Amino acid sequence: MAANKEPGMHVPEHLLYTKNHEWARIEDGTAYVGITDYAQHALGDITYVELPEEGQSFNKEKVFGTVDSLKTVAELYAPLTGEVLEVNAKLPSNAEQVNEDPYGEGWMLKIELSDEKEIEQLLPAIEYVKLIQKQAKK
Amino acid sequence: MELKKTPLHAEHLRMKARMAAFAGYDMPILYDEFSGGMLKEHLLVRQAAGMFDVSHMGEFWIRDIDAVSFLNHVSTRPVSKMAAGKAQYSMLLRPDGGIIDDIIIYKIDDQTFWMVVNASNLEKDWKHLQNEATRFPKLSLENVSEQTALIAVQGPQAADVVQTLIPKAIDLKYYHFFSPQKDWIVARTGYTGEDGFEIFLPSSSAVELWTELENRKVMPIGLGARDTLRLEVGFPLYGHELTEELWPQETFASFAVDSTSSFLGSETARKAPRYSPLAISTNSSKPIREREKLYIGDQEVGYVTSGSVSPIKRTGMALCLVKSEALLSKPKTFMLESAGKRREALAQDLPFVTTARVKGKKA
Repeated sequence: MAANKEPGMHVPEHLLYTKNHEWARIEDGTAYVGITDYAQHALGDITYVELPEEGQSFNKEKVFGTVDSLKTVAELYAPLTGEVLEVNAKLPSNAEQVNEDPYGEGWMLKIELSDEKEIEQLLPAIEYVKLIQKQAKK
Repeated sequence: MELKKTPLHAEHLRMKARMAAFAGYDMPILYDEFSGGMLKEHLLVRQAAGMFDVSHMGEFWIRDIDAVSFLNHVSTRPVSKMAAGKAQYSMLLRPDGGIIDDIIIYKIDDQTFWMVVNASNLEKDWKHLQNEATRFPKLSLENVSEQTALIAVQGPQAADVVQTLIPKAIDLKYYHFFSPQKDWIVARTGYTGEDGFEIFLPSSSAVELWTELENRKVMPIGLGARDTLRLEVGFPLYGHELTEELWPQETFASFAVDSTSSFLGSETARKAPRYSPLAISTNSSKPIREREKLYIGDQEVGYVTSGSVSPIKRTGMALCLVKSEALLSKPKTFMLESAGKRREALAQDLPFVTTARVKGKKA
């Protein structure tokens, strides 16, 4: 699958996704979490990100924070159950990183997974691409 | 209902604007593939120059011997003392003082005036003016909104660019205009606080001017940045800070009312205000949202009429409407409530950001 150059349609193959437009990068029982290119593009200019404290735990699909753009506010849903090991400390003062680099500098949380079996329920890139192509057509 | 299109609609699609319905028109909200986003569009206007398609706005001719007495009757500031070539910000009021619209009147000569009105109010304004006109026998009104385009060029570099196309524009003073050719009006006005021009022209010439400006590297700016630009300098927007339920003295446009002359709604316009406008700011980059509630302690005193985050200051900014009695003690600290959470906001002198055209109070 070639990298898609359409704005908001970049979906790296090595990540896993949710239907709520979060991504997860799995590393040795932990996961880095952020929002997708599709999500940042739909939100527009992001000015503020509210993230949880380290040590807090979230169940899969529970709200862990919010993201504000000039246009709107959106809730952030945990893609997997676990405890927050680290939050991206740069984001509160540099929220535009989520627009500029949603899969890199715009990461939000690193969580310790409680149940690695949940990983199987996440969408691979090819399935997520189908989902956003369908939504983009609406 | 099918949305109307401005003469520049195809240009917006070519520039891949994100379009949305506004006042019955399909309008460009931002050109992010061009500009990189709304914040960048905003900063571009503050630092260089940008162009806006605001052709959705309404334009009327007011002509003949009774033009002056008619405008003195329907608007909140007399036009009798205006010099030809001068523009004047004003309002139309209902007989009971409610604000029908905020407008700009341009004096061509003693018997010829041009009026620009908000797109969202065009039809009701036109009906109102026609109703009032029946009392003035020597008067002609003409609605030329459909055949008139309006392109605003705003920013510190606007004058340099516009004078390459319209040489005499550079000589205009603020709130003055001239007509370089038939059916063109070039005014040194705007809605961003920056230096710049609003250029009325026949719809058939709009694409040519737009592309000439584009060739001179003027970036297109959408209605999204137009809103944060006007908010940063505290300019009111009809439907938000100005409504039919409010009197002029209850708004940020209270300066646009003559205190001595008589006009439609003038009696009410001199009563004590029930509400007061208030500007507030926060110290966080979380945008303030319209309709958020405003508290002093536990007492709800008002709400946000327009809010966002200042792209220049990166902090929350908002215009609010507050019960006048709550401001008698000149409180400085307020609480904003959104989604059950409260945060502090401070009363703020306007403008939020000082610009070429909006300096605020001298210290």
